[in-house]
Amino acid sequence: MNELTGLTTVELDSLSEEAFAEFVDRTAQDPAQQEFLTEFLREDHPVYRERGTAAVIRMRGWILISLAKQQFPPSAVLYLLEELDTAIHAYAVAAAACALRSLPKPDQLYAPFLLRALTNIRYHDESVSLEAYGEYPDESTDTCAVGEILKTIRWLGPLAGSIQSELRNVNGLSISEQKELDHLVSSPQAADQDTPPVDDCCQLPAGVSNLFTWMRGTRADCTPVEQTVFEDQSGNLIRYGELFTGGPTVVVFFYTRCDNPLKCSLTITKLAHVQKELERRGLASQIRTAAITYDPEYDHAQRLAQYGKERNFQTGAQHRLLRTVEGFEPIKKHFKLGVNYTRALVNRHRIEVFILDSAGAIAASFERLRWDEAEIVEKAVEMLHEAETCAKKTDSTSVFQNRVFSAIGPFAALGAAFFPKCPFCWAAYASLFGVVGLEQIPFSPWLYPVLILVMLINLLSVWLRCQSTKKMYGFYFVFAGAVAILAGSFWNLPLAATSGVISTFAGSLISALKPD
Amino acid sequence: MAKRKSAKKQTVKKSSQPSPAKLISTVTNDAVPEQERVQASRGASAAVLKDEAYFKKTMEVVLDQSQPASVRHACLQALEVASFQTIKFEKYRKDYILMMRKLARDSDPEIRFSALNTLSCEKDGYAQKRLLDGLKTPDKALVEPEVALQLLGNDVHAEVYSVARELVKKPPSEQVKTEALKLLAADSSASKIFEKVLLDKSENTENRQVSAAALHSIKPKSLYKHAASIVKDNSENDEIQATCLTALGNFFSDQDVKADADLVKGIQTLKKKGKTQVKKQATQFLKKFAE
Repeated sequence: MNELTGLTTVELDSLSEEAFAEFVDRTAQDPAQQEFLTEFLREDHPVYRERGTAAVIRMRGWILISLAKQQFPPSAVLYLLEELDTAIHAYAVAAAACALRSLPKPDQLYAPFLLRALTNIRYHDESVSLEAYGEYPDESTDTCAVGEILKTIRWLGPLAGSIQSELRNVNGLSISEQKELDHLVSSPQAADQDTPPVDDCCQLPAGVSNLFTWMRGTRADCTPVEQTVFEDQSGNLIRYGELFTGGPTVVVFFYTRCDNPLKCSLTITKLAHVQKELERRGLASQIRTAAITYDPEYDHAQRLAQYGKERNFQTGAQHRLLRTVEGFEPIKKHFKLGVNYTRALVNRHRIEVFILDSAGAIAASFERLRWDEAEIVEKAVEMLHEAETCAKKTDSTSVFQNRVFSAIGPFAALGAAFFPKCPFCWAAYASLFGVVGLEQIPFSPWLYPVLILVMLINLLSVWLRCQSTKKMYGFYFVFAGAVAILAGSFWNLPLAATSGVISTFAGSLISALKPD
Repeated sequence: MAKRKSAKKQTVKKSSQPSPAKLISTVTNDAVPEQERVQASRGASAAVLKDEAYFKKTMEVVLDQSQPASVRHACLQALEVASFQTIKFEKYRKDYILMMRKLARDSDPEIRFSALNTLSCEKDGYAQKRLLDGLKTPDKALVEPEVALQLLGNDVHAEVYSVARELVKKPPSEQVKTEALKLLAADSSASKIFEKVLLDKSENTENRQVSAAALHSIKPKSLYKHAASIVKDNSENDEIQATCLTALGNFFSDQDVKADADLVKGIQTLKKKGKTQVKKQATQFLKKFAE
C-alpha cells in the first residue's frame, strides 16, 4: 500500500484519469516522492494498461508538468528529451518543453532536442492547456507546443547558439510565433559566434544516458526464452536458442500499426541502414539483425514481409522480421520492454534496440532516443570481437585441461604399477615412507581398482585427444604402457611394470603437446 | 496567333473571377442572397490561404449559429478544403482545431458530424473523449451511437474496445452491433467474438460478413477453417457461402484445397444448385483450383 495515497497497488492501477491527476498533484508536492512519481513515467507501468493512447499522453504529460512545479528530478530528464525527440502530439511536446525550463541550469545540449521538437510538431500543433488536467482549451490560449518550445529556446539564451542558423530558416508559423522566432534569432544573445556547434547526433547532457551495457558474467542468460518459438516473415518457425546464438545480433522492437513515423517506421528503416553498413564491412554473415513485433497476433508473416520490404529491410537466414507464436509475455519480461497495451493493441512504447552477445544474452540496450546506426554497428562488432576472444581462451583452456588430465593419468598408472598387493607389501612401503609419516596410512586394497580405473580413464582421454589431433602415436605408447603395467602387476614382473609406467608417461606427454 | 488568342482568353477569364477580398466580402455579407454567398464560398478555400483576416472572417461565419445553414456548410467545406494545403495552412491550424471543437457541440447535426469527422481523422483526444462519453452515457451523445463508433474507428489506438464489446453483447440496434463489430476488427484478441458471429446462422448476413472480413484480417487460418465448413453446409445462407467462397478462392492455397476433397465436392454441388452469385464464385474457385 502506498503511504501517501492510502491505496493498494491494484487500486492505484485502476484509477480514473481524474483521480490519477489528483494523486499526481498530491504526490508531486512532496519532494521525497519525486522518484516514486518518476516510476509512473515507465511505459510498462500498470496504470497505463487498457488506456487509449490519448489518455496515456494526457497522463504522462501531467506527470511531467507536475514534477516541473517542484525540482524536476534528474532521473527523469531522459523522459523529457524523449518527448522532444520523437513525440508528435502537441500536448506531450508542450509539457516536455515547459518542464525543461524547470531544470536548475540550461544546457546547450538541449538545443538540438528543441530544434528537433520544433521540426516534429510542425503541422500537428494545437492550443493546449497546461493549467488543469485533461483541459482542452476553447479559446486561443497563449500556449501551444511551438510556443512552449520558443519559450524554452529563449530560456537557453546564448546556449541556443548552435541552432540559430536552422531557426532562421523556419517560416510558416503564425504571425505571433514568427515574430517571437524572428526576435530570438536576431537578438544580441543569439549572435554568439563562439558557441561550438553541437553534434546533432544525440549528445546527451552529463548524467543522462540512453545506453545501458552489461559486462560478460553479469548478463542475464537467455534460458527463460531459449525455447520461445518465432515465425519469420517467410513463415519459417525457429526458436530463440537457435536464432540468437552463435554470433551477435542487433534486435529492435516495432509493430506495423504504429502511427508515429519517428518510432517504428524509422526504426526498421534505420535497421536496414545497419544492414547496409554490415554488408559494406563484410560482417553481414557474422552479425545478425532481427526485428520483433510487439503485436504478434496482428502482424502476420505477410504483414511483416510487406512492412520490411517497404523500408528496404533485407531478409534472409541472418536477417529476419519476427513474431512470437505462443505468446509474447516471456519475451516482454526477458527484455523488460517499455510497452503497454489496450487489449491486444499497443497504446504506448519506447524506442528500444538491443545488442545480444553470441550466447543470446543482452549485452547492451539503447533506449528512448533516436539511435545512431554507426554506434549500433560498433557495439555489435565489439560483441563479435568478444566472441572471438572467448573462443581463443576456450581453446587454450581446453588444451590446458587436456594437459592436466594427461598428466594425472600417468601418475595413476604409476600408482597401479607399484601398488602393494598385500598388507606385507603395504607395510614395506609404509616403512619406506616412514620418514614422511605415510606409514600411518592403513592398508587400503580398494585403492587398487580405483587406480586401475583412473589409468583406463587416462587411456580413453588420450585416445580422444589423439582422435581430435589425428596423431595416434601418443595413444599407442599409453596403450602399450597400460598393457605392460597390468602384465607386470598380475605376473609380478617389475621390469614390465617400470617400462609400462615410462611408456604411459611418454604417451601422455606426447598427446598433451599442441598439434602442428 | 492561336497561342495569343488562348492567352487572351485566360487573362479575360482570370479578370472575370472576383478577387479574394470580393469573395470573402460576399461570403460574409448578410445582405447578399444566400445562393450567392454559397456560390462565393466555393472560391473561398484559396482566398483564406492568402490572408489571415479572410480565414478569420470565414471562420466567424461558420461559428455563427444565426447564419443560414447552407452558408455555414459551404464555408466549413471551404476551410476543410483549404486545410489540405498543409504547409500554407499551418499558421491557421490551431484556430481551425479550436473551431472544430466548438462545432462538435453545434446545434446543426450536419455541422456537428463534419467537425467530429475532421477531428476524428486527426485522432483528436477531445473528440474521442466526447464520443466515448456519448456511448457510455446516451444523454451526452453528440451523434448516433453507430456514427460515434464509425468515427472512433479512425484511430485504432482509441480507448473504445471495451465499450464496443459491451455493445456487441447488448446492442441498442443492429446497426450499432454492426459498427461495433467493424471497430473490433482492429482488436486481435476479439477473434472468438467473430468466430461466434460467423458461425451463428441466426445472425444477420451483414454481421456475419463483417466477421468473416475481420477474421481474415486478424486470424486468417480460423476464417479458412470455418469458411470451408460453411461452404460444405447445404443449409447455409447463399450470401455467406458466396463470401466464404471469395475468401477461399482468393487466399486458399492449392495444398489446402487438395487436402480437403469434401470441399471441392461441396463447391461442385454449389455450382450446380446454388443461386447466381454463389454459382459464379463456385465456378471461379473450381476454375482456379480443380479444373
